[in-house]
Amino acid sequence: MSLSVLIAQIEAQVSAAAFVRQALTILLLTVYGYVLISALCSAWSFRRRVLFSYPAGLSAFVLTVFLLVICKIPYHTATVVIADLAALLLVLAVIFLTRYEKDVRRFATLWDCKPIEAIIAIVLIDSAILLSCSGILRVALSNDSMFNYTFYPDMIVHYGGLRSNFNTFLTDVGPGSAMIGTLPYLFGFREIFGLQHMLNLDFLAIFGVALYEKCGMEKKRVKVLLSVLGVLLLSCSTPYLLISKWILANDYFAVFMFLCVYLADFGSESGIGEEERTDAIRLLCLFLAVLSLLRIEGGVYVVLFVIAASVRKIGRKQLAFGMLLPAMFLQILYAFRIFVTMDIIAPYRFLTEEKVILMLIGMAAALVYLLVIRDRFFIGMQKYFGPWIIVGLVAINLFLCVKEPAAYLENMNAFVQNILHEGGWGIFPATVAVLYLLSLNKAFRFHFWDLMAFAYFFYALAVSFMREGGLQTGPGDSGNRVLLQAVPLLLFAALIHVVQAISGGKTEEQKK
Amino acid sequence: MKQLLKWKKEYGLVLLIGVLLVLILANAAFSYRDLTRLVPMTTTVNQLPYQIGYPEEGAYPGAILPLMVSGKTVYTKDDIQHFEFDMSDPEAPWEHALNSIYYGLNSRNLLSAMDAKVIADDSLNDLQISEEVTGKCVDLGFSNDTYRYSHAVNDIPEEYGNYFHYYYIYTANGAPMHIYLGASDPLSLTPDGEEELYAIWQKKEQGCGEDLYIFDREFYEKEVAP
Repeated sequence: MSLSVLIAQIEAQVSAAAFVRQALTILLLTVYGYVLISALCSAWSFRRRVLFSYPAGLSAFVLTVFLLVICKIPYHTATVVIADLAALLLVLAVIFLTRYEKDVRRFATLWDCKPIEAIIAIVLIDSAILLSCSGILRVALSNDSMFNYTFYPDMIVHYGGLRSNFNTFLTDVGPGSAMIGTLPYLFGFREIFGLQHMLNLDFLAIFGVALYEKCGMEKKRVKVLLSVLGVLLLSCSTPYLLISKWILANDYFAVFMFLCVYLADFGSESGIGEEERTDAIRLLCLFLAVLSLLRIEGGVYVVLFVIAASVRKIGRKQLAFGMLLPAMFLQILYAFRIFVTMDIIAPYRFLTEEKVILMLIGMAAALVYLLVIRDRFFIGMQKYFGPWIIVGLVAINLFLCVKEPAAYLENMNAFVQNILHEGGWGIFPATVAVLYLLSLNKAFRFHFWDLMAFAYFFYALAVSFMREGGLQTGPGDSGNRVLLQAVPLLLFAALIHVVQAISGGKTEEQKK
Repeated sequence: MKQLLKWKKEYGLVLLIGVLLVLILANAAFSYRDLTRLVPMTTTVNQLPYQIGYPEEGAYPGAILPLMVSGKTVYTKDDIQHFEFDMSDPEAPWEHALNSIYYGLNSRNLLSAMDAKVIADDSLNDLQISEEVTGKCVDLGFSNDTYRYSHAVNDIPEEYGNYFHYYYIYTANGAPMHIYLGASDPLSLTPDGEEELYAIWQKKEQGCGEDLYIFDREFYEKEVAP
């Protein structure tokens, strides 16, 4: 018997159905996301709603099924479908009951767009889905891809939920990513590559639109050209290709982190009204909750994010009750589920009870800052809060360095080696440096994207230290992969500077 | 300086586009050169996580096995060895118990978790797969990692199973394990193939662990059955 013949026979029996099912699953998630986003962001244009549909659908799925497994509701296709539909109906009911009539009226215009726009959207989405699921886009698979993000989700579906024997899977794999990984086993296909590729294609489109909005030039054609070049630069860079093709949680985290920063910054461009901005904050709340679940240390990033996002014009209630508390609630639920209702004894665990407590203390401190201190005390200091955040993160790193110098320096050495030689960074650091050099002029300002990108860098150093055990050199080391997640942010921050320098150093907003 | 600023103002956009193009090309060239060196890449047109090149690398046989056994009746040996583990002394020599604790348990549970209907048949207990038979089988690859993570499908209390698996995979006691396929007709191992299969685990001659053999009925009766 030849193995290739056997594989060919299996392929003949399952591949066509798997392809169709995966494509349909992505399409349904997109449609679901579109309806949800039309309810949450009714002031947004049709185009913007379409652009964010897939990540919104994916997010709603992750949150809903996360609650299913936490509440020990049997995790099967039927319960998942019912729960997702119920969640959507609940969101619609809440919005219809609590919001102004005009919002309801706007939601009624769900399909109200120019026919040509609708046709283009359908063609583009379907093409992206077909390309994503075709399998012709290459992927990288490693041990973690096959077990943490394939076998573990398969077992969640098989056993209808979490069980203590999942053990280190529970403490090392972000529950959100595991939930995404269950989609193939819920809906009858075999692999998760298409889901990730679709997110990447959608993300590249969002990256282009975001860059377009930052270009201060008069001519549309120039703005489109620069946006396309920006997208091409990102999609050709080695670290982005590495992270986007590798079937792990890092790509999802990088994409959702970018989307969160984009939404927090939303409204700094011309032509964007207050209502659209409010809609963006709603979506941001959803995405940030999902981000907190995508990797096991996601809750720590949420602390950094809300503190850093507080420099933007986002209300303290939105930051505290819309973003921080839900993430905190999700972390408590998960920790309770795995540490209180289960016995997990393993030789090594990333997430421990102590780390959860530390994370919750950090979240509580951020909550106190937002509700008590922000805009009330230390007002002068808060005017320069961005640089203070960087100073704070440097101080945390210095503290870690002083506390355990040998281990910290070992990690730092691994980071440097990875960025310079072995971590798959290619010429990306030089690319970013060139862009920053090009943008240096009198109008150069440290902006929100810089803050988020550089703060993330110091955050990654500190979080990787929490892993215990020295970081390794090589692209696959988790410390390196955590750092790679910042690539879209870093490039975007640099690109904004350079396009604004060319357009006279001012954004549209500043020109006004 | 003034001239430079004027020049920048006049040609800044062209300069930027030029620089971006150069950076794009340079990044693309580096990615083309480095990407597959950094991490193996594969296309997935067959819609399976399992790729045809894996046996050469010896990787991930567990990624295709579910498609061969899911929904089918699988006859296995009935000689699983499992005993309660004494956790009171963490320094105890775990390796002395490895053979016993390991044997058959994970194979059976993995098959069950792959939605096979496992029927333990004690008449198969004495079966020994010869090297000659192994030579007629297809090697699906190393299964050590598959077994390492099989703690997820066990029902061992106290979770010492996880400790065991880490220990097992990281010590020299764990010999390379394989999953072998023996079939008279490749179609019989496909999802639409034969409804009844045989899964025979066999201890490694040296070190710890076991190989797993999956046979269709005709191959089993012709080559393996006593």
